[in-house]
Amino acid sequence: MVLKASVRLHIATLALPLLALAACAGSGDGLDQNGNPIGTGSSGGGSGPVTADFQSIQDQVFTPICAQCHAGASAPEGMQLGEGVSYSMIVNVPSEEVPTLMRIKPGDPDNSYLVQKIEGLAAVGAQMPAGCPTTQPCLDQDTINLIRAWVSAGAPMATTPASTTVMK
Amino acid sequence: MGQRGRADGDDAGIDDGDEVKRTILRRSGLLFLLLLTQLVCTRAFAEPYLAVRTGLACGACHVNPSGGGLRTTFGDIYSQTQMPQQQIDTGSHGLWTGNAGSLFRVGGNLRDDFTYIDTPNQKKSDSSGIDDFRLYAAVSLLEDRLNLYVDERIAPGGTQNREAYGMLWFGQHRFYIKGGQFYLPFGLRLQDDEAYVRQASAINYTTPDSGAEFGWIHGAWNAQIALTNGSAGAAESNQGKQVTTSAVYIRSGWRAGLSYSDNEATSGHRQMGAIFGGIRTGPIAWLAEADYIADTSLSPHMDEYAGLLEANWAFLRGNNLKLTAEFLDPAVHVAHDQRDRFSAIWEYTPIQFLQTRLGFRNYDGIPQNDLQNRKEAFAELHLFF
Repeated sequence: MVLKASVRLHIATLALPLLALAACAGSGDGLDQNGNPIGTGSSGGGSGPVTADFQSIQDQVFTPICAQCHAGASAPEGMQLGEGVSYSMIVNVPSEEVPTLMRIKPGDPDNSYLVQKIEGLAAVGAQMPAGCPTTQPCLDQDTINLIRAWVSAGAPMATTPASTTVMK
Repeated sequence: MGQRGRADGDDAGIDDGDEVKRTILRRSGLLFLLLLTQLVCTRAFAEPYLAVRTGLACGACHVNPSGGGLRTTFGDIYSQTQMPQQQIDTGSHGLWTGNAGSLFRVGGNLRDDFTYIDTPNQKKSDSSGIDDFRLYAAVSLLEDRLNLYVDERIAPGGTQNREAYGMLWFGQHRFYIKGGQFYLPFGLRLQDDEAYVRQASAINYTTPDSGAEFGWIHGAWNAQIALTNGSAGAAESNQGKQVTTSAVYIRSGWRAGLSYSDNEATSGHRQMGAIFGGIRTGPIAWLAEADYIADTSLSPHMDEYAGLLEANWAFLRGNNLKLTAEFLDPAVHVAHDQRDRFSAIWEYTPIQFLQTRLGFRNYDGIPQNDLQNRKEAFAELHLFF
């Protein structure tokens, strides 16, 4: 099938600038999984299995997935989930959408709004991460179970020595 | 293929005399309807390429002067007569004009998706479900002067109010003031919340804010300034406010705009700037936006760039090929962390109120992050009125 010259020109006009712009992804040299320079204070590691402790959840879930939107001064619902600020934003903090529920209620995952949101059971709004399952994967059940286990254990900030491990 | 209307994009610029006359009559009719609506307002909305393609202000098709879902009478008629490949004759019912009584206007969008996601080192997933279902309503308390507007997201999940505001027009419909909860005026209001420019700026359809917006519309200029809580929908928790302003200059074949936002929050100071625009080259409508964001609420302080270049090719009547290339540098001070996203989407509108979309997206980021390197394919059914 031979395309008309003008159609070929349109296709070339479309393709060249778009491809030029889309050919600049970073090599990742010297960075951890979350794009932070290795060896700096901002690098939490970000590799290895997810475990039921806060730092692991931060590195494997909050930073790479949630903080793509929930970061900075204009984070949705005012909830920042970036490194260093997320704990104080969620543990024993009332949710904005259902203020009668804490985002994380230590010891009670069923009544923790963040858990309800990632399970798709919340009374208001859509399941998180935003767009899941239609534009990005939902958290797998193993990861959700680990977050529930961390909440059930009292949602401690420090790493627990004996935590459940699941390979992603 | 059995398709009606224009044979292909190559014929777009070859008009005979009758076609020119029909085009003039059609456009005159549309412009007349536009004047009837008296709602010529601001910037591009969910599909800003349509505004670029037609050369009209996007507010010509949407009630919300700074972007929003409910269509004007002109928008409803345009979507039924100009967008579909074939217009089904509705007989005595005529065209849907959005009116539900003399005071009420209603509308809605339903997007149902089937998506296949291939993420490296993870199980491939496929799923179907409602991506977005919204209903809109507006009440004209004083005709062409005082309106009440609601945008309610019905699904997925529990019902959630997205916009609710009152709007007063004055100064011969050249000024308005809006108060309540609304989307902030910043950059191109793309339908895709996950476009890097919308995700990085955190101004999209998931982050309405509460406050007031003042708008000015004069000739080719549209401008808004909004003073809001700066909490992206959360309750106010500080004395600082977010100031967001946007201005765009619109000509028939192109448009260019600037946006700026300053949010003084308890956790830090966030500043954003954007330059955006569009141009029409034959059957292709181009969109572009570049954003710079600096945020001191993050540690280390964040400074990032996001860019978008999009081409929309009307290769046949009722068909649009959308190619989008995006760029994100999430931390300017960190090397080798840039990301790309490339999308190819075929939008087919066979009849009025119905659109299908088939698309592919390729994410390209640092190799050690699987999610940044996923691939998506999707099919979407879009019903709208």
